[in-house]
Amino acid sequence: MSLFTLRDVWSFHSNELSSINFSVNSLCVANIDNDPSGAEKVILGSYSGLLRIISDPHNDDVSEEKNSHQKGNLLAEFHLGSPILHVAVGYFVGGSTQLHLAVLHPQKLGVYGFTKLPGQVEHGCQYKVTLLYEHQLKRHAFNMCIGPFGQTVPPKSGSGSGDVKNMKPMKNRDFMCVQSLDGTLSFFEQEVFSFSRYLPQFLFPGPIVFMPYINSFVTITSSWELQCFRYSTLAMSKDDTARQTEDTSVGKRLTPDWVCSIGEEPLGDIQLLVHPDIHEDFRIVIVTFRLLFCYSGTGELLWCKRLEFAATCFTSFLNSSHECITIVASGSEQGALYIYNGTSLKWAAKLPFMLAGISRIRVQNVPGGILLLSGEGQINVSILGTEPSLFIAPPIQARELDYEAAEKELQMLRKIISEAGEQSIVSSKECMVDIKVEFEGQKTIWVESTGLEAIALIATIKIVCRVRVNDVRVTIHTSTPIKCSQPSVYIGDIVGRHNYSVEFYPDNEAIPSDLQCEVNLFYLSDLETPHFIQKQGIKIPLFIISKASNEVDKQGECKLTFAVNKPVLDLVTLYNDFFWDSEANPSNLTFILQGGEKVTIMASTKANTAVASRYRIQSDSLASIHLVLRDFLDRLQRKYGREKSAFEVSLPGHENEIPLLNEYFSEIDTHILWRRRELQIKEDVSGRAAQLRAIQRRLLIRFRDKNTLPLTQLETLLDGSLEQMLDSLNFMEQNELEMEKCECRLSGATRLILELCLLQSGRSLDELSILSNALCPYLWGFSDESGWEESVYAGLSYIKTQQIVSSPSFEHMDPIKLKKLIKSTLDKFKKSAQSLVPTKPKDSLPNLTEPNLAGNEILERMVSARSRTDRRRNPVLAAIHEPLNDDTEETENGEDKPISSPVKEMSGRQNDHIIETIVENEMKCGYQLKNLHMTSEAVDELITSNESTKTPTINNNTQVEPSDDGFW
Amino acid sequence: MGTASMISGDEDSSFINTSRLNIMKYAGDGAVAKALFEYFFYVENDTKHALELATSAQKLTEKDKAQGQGAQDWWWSVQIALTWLRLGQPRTAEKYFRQALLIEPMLITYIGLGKVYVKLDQPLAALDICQKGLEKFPGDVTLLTEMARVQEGLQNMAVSVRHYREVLAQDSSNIEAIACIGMHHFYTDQPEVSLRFYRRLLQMGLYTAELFVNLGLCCFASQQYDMTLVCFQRAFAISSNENIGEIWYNLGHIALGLSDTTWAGQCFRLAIAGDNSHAEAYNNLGVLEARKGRSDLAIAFFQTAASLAPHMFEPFFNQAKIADSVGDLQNSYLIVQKALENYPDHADSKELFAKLKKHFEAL
Repeated sequence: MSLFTLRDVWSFHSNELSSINFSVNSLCVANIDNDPSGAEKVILGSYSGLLRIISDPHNDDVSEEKNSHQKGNLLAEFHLGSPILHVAVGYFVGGSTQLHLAVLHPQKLGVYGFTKLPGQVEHGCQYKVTLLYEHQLKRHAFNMCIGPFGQTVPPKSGSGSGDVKNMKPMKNRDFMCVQSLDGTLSFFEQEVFSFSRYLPQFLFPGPIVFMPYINSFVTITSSWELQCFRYSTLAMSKDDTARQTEDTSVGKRLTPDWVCSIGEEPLGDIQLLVHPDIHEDFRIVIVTFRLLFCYSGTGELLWCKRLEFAATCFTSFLNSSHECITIVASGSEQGALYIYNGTSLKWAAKLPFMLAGISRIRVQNVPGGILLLSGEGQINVSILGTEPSLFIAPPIQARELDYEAAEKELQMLRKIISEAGEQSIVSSKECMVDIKVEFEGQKTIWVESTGLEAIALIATIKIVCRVRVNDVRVTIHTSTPIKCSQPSVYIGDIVGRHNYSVEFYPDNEAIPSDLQCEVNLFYLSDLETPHFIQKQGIKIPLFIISKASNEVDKQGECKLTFAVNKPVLDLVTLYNDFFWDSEANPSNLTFILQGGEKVTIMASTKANTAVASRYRIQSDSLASIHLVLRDFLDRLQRKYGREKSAFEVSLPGHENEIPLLNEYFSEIDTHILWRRRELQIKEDVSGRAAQLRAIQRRLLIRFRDKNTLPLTQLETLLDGSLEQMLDSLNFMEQNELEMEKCECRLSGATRLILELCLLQSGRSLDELSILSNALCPYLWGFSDESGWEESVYAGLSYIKTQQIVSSPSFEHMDPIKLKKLIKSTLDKFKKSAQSLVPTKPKDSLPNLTEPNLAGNEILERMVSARSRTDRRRNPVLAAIHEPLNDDTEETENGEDKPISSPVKEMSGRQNDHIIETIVENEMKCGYQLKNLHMTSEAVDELITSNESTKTPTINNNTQVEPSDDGFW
Repeated sequence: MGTASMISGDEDSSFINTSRLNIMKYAGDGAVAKALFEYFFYVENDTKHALELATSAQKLTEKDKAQGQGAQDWWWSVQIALTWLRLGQPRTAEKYFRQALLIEPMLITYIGLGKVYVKLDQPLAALDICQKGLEKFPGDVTLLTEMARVQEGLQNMAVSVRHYREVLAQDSSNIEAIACIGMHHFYTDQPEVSLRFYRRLLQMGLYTAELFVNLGLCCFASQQYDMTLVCFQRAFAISSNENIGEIWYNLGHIALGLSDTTWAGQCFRLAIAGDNSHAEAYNNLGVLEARKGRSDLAIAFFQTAASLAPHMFEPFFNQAKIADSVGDLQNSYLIVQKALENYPDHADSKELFAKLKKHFEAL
């Protein structure tokens, strides 16, 4: 990001095809022709082997306009025959003060002289490159560094002239050090090869630079460390000069003077800044891809800067006030040049191309030019101008806005919008999804012992949706014992229609309280809002649990007579979906239910007129009557539903009282009885479980004991009590089955009573709902602490007194009181015209739910559904401690025979076996128990008697487990 | 390991088969270990192997140090810390960063440690470590930016802007600093100053829809109405699917400022069309509907907004206010409490709450 661009002074293009022909090392800026004016030339060596010398055009053609952009003068171009890796300028010829050019090729190092010959004709001049000397290299070279190696210290013998110390040391003699690809440094003292050294721990060659005055080399290794080697160390560690050739290098291990970890791969250059006055004050500047480091000559980190771009190349120098200025080029798409003074950004300018190298150059003898080199050989010499590179956003539209046309269009669009009307965003009540259940067939699943076959109904669930809906889940809820094969199905996303089939079948012989099922459908609309569709009252056909019977049975205990204001019907045609005998009496039909119970429906043969008829339903239980009555009424409804005069049902002979109330009460009594038995059994089970645990604990103590003790027939006791426990649990299971049947019957009976109340009082369904809520015809979902009776008691007493009364617990519940309450409430409902509960002003009721929130509604329903399905059950068995059986016990048991034990001894192996059985049984038992012949006191006695004989050890063990709450 | 030339012709096969490498061997090879670690960590994203390599390499350097040769490398400690950070163990990472600091204090270590503390939700510790880093590396932009971000998270806008200004003193083209200072000025009712900062960004060549939206809003707030719509036009011209909702939403605010509620409503609807979880747009639509007197519709919008962005207090307050006005005091009381939970100092909510409380106490 920059506000300014670089201002080009002159440029040059070397027209090489490949973009990788130049790198950082291909560029050198120096007064190579030793021109007295000191004008700098650009020396460019390419990988294609071409050496070019380019000069500033302004130096020669003064007449031309200064400010205009010019092309650089190509002074000379030579083909050197092999790729040029590195060019460097220095004093490479002994005794000469002229600058010469060192050119590194892969296999040789050449030093060239560059001379300017005056032109033969009137203007211009000629340049000549002469090879002065060259070294053939044995190894492939990578790069090199030059400098007056070893010259500030007293020169070694044989290294040449000794009087350099007195002069300015570096001006006259520059040596060369070539780094090869395998990490060998070869040192050349001008025309003479001196020695070569291996760098330690070498993988790839890195940039290398020589620090004069302190005579050290700095390089970056492939372990991303900045390492400094003293020249003296490099030179001294050669131990055998005789063997020293260019091919081999021997010597002791080379250790760096100092090492700094930079932790990132460096760009291919190290910049060395020397303070002009204080010679020992070095700055080493390194740029990695993300960081800019500055180290002192002793390897101390001076500063560090994190770059927010990927750098490609950089150059660095000290300005007049000795501050370190670094120019870094970014390699990002919008290339830019960043100029840092230390760590703070001073300037940024846009780059014309991606850089391969960068250098400073004097422009018309004024420092401040920046030389940019691209990979293709494009050279731009620029200055940091203040020409802004203002970003100009492209225009949006070519044409001017036609306001009139736009106004018209707007009017038209407004019209369309207003015609479309307001879309209602409120969650619409009308559902986008419709669900249907169709019963299509049946199949026999098993045949009962009574000869009746249980059948399964095949139903198809059809979902039709008008829009796309996501994450559809269908749940089907049926009354016990009728089951659905797939109570919950996840369908996924639906567009259009989706059908799938399920089966309904009775799970056991209990009489279902209701033949209706409920289908719930959850889905997410396209806007991710959850929706919920409930379809209630889907009727499962009666024949799922019943069969036509050929014998008319009139023995039922419960009878219900009712009248209908329509002519008498032919029952056989009404129930045409059953298989009746051809000679079946059309006025008396009997159904056999799954459990073998018979229900008979009779049409009265007398007292029938064209406007009235009487029917009687007879059966042993109220629940079965309810089933048939409900079904019969539904059939009538279907038959007469379309006629003008609605059919009415009345209960003749029961004007003053609710029919069948006594039978209902006896159902309640049965239910109470079953519940009491259940409680009893549970008590039993917990007592026996405690006993079993006690025996187990005692046994474990016995086994854990180091001294072998007689088992004193505890194992028999254990087996016995375990058996009793299992018996009890079986008993409990049976009881539960009976309980379920009983609950079904009571549920059905309650529904019947409610139905009759409705028929008798002729009130609306809404009013019935209060009564129905109080009587809870849905019996499942009650806990042991608060069962159906308690709930009904509480509900009815609230209706009676308008006060919330805490109902007595089940043990203290008086069934007679409950029955009285039921009777009085039903009477009240029947007789009084008022509603059972006086309606209160609505807003004074605390209403905590948020209105209209579909999600909450679902949540509530789900919570209530969960509470319904989840029957709480007290854990009967507590977990026992993990048995410990040490190996030591085993061996001791083996050796140490019980001394005075009258009881059969057991080997360690048997002990193990018993422990295993205990654990197994523990896992097997789950929650299930029975009569134990031995009372817990007896066990207690037995244990204490044993204790008294083996007191010390037992005490020990009881201390180990003090938290046990057994019965000692 | 082998070199690139040894790769079989199969393009899909990985460069280095990580699982077959003898990690201990390469951990000891100083020249390869670091590059191999970066390959594991950044290319293969194989944090487990990277950690194994780094740990063994560090152990080897420690052993070397104990034998008196070589020095411990801060780099390995930092890399171990980074792997632990990637594995979601900032506490362990902190330990290794600290260790690296003891070996040699480097900039990257301070930055990493600051990140660890931000991750651990200890902003003060993060500030502290950044401050220590600044003592060592004065005026470092990365550390200053980190401090400014933490302070912004702590709602200390003044301190944050001070740090951003320090950043600009170091690096006058830091986009984040310019944008944040501009935003600060906008929200402290100095849209003209803010406009200058955003214009600077535009001059620097930043060309995004968000910048134009900000420019448009600043122009509108500083009453340069002629530029406002042009800026929005440009924003739409370069918008993407991700930000078009935001642009419509902001344009809706302009429409509200021009009191063209129909237009505003259409803008908010388009904002929702662009981004259907744009809670603010739902809320504003709700307000517009409430102004039209359709409280049912408004409540539906507020509920949607509240469900999409439970952290916002506006939908709750608006909902409570409507409930209060239609006489549903109980609900209003409950909902306004939610609003106060999200923003305890909201004056209007507090007022409404006090009023309802008084009302209920009187009952």
